[in-house]
Amino acid sequence: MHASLPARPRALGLLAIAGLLLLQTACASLEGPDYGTYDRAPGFNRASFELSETLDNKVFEPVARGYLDLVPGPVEAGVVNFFANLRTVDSSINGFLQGKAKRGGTDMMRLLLNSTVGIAGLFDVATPAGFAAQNEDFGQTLAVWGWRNSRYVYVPLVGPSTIRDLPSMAIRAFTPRLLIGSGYPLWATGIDLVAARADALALTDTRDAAALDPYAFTREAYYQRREFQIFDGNPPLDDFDDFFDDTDAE
Amino acid sequence: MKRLLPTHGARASRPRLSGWKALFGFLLWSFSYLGTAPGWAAADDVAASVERFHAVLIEAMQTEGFGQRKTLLDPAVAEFFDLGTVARISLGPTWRSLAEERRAAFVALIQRLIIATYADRFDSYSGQSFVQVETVAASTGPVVKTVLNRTNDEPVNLDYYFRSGKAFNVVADGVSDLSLRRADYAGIIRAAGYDGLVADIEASIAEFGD
Repeated sequence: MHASLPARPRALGLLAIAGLLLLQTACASLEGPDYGTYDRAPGFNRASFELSETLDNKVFEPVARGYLDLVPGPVEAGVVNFFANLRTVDSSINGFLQGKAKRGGTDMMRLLLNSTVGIAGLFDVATPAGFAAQNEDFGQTLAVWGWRNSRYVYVPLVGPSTIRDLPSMAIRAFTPRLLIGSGYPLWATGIDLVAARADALALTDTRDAAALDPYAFTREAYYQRREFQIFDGNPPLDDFDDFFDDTDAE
Repeated sequence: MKRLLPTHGARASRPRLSGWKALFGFLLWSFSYLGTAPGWAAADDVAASVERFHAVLIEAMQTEGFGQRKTLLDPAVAEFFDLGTVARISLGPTWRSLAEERRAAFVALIQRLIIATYADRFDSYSGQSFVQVETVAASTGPVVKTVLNRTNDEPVNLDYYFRSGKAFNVVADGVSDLSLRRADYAGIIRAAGYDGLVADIEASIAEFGD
């Protein structure tokens, strides 16, 4: 049911093949709506999830809630905007790598406007000006290049991912340090992490209220959300007719 | 033997329409057909159904008290959702192993869960609004694409999947409610069986509104 992505530029395709030969893990046969089939190491992943949740409940979540209580809303928004602005570089590059010049260009305009008028990215002046965040990343680029599905990995203390999305996760984590250089202080990394966790509180609260098996819920939501992002918010229409197969035939 | 098709003679005896009249007649027939074709009528019906459901959600957001919101949402959820399909798909193959009365009990349980979930999540109003974008066709039926606009947050795309005139799936920014439910329940059924799942859903409903 998943429609194929638009044809990718030939040069990018050749570049991608070299990378995919190293990274591809026989995912071509893993099509289908049951994302549980991509979870080839459920024992490790579930243990990693449980450990992460325990630490999150005891340390990260309370710190994030305290941060939200202490820091005024505009300051908190400024911190989120600052780090998001740095990561616009990553998003813009990946827009171009996917052959989406308009999306890459929109992010470049965001970077220009928010870094100058928005005072080093503290204010998001680009969105009201018509330059919305495109939120591209290297994992989406690999998907556009042809690596559609990948094995599930729950990275301890970090969160859900796939083999395909691991490099992207690392790039996003180190982008601020890479851009600012050796002068980037360690405490800034700490603020980045706390702000990111605080920003995700609404999501995890929703999950905790709705999920009976938060591990399976997180995995399913992660794959579906990535599909949405890969297709830039306009994925092919899924009929969900596979769901009817195992219950219609009675 | 009775003829079902007219003979050449019968056809020749009918008055012949001029070209423009024939064209006009064809167009008139086409438009009247389009207006009454099941697909078009269904598209209008489901769009109106979504409109009514959204109006209830806005009213729920403006209503104080979890119990009052549940009372408000109860008939709307029953009218809007194909609860039998939601329950059946959520359970997957386990559905087939259930007797009729257990299936009916599970449908009622899902209804209570959906009402409690909506009453819990749609609990405050700060200028939110729903906008219908378009209705498109999927093999299972029409899909109504809408957007939930929020004042201090990014808009959310909400797609409603219909089958036989009722919604069976809501997809929010690409994440399917039915898929999540199905994946969520599969793990519980594997670990604790159907009865364990029912107990967990009951516990989940009891926690809402706390």
